[in-house]
Amino acid sequence: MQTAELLEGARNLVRYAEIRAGHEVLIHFEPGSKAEPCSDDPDVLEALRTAVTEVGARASIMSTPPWNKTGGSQPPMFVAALDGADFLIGQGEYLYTKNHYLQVAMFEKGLVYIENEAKTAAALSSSYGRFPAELMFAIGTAVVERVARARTARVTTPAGTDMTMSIRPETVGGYCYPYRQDSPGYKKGFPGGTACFHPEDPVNGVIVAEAFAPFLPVPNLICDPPLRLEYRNHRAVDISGGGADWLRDFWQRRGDANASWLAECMWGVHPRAGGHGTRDASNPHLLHFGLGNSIPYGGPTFSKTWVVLFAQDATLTLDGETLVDRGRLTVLDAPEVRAVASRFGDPKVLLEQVPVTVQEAFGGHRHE
Amino acid sequence: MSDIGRELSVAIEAATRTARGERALKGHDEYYEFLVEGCTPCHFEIAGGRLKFGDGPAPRREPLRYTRLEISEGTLRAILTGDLSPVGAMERGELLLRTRLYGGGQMIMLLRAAYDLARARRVESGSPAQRAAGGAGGG
Repeated sequence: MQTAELLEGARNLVRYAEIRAGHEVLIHFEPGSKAEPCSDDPDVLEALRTAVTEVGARASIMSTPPWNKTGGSQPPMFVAALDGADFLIGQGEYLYTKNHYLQVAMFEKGLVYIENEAKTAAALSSSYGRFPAELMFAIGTAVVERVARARTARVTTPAGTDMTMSIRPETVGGYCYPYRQDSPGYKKGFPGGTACFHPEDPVNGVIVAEAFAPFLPVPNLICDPPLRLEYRNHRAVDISGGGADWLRDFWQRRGDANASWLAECMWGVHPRAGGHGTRDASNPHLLHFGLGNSIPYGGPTFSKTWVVLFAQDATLTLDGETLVDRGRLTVLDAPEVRAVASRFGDPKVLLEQVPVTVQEAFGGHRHE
Repeated sequence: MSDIGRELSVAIEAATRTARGERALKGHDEYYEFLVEGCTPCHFEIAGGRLKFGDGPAPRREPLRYTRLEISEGTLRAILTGDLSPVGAMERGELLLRTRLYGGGQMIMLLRAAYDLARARRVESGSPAQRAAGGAGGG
């Protein structure tokens, strides 16, 4: 059943993406998807269609059978439909932007791909899906400004991570600042809530990871004991702990000289992300490192592989100033963020961080 | 200004007059700096829907407003002559966008428009075989 909250969540997506009159919007879903079983909820599709239509844009809804996004061939009808779209709202499985057809559609033709990260009615209706765009952008802008003016970042975690990296301001970004600043031709998540940078040399230290990302075919996502990677000059020189055998074998079979290149440092900035169909990785309690192909993140190295490792309750310091303090995003207390929050309700309620652990986020995932 | 810088400036200027180029210019404001291997840097500024070319590095490098493109002269020439699409160059690791996650789309659209114009010229001026090859499109 459609509710006012669900429609408000859909309207929020339209506001985030700045969909306007005259835009052609394609909403794509995949009935039968195992990865996104709620992709075809008619109430969510109708809410999205209504929200797009009421701003004067034209909504077209397309259903395709699910396909393997990393190795399969995409339906030609879907690829053809992208030609006529200004915006694609991904309500099905994540489309993997490294695919050639999507690279062409985004970068050469100017398609804006909005991946809906609040796909279920519960998530889209919640305080996560309805989190005001203006407030998310205020948080994101505060984060981006602080990271971009720093020269050195250090990440430590209770489990033992201690990494030091340099920062180049041009690689600082994520899904958290006004999306118009990348128009046209980009991809963003809705409601987003992550910030990132490409670690620049020198990159040294130790990553102690507590979980692998769900897209990796590792039998158990939780690293028990934690996975330890020692980094010297941007590359892993020693690997041990839970998941080490799997990772070594994966890189031996499919990797290359840049497989362990530290390509991304990303963390959550959305205080309401976590559980109930939301994207846990957008919560500040979780920080992740991306290893391998650095090209999409502003880096200089190509790799055939991409591995994502999560750490919990990280502390991230920028030239000695604390941005994330054991999983708590400090800019949530910044006066400029509180001032924006007060326009939408009680800042204490809006900016209260939901607790998330790697066990809750990834403990239920198992690959056959 | 280097020869390739001059060629780039002419090609991108022409690209802005295509439908794809016009769409790119309607986006946000940003500096795009080209570092062509062995050549002096040059840059484009997109501001208020207009394009301006300049010699040397971009005068400003603000976060979310600056992209540096690193490319060899051979690869850039291949794009400007319609032999290699910009995404093709990116996928080969021969065109690096040193920018934020999913940044740089405007300039890739303009390079693609320049690539398409070069292929169209080839169709107009070439032999039937060349015309067939050019007309097949790329990328």
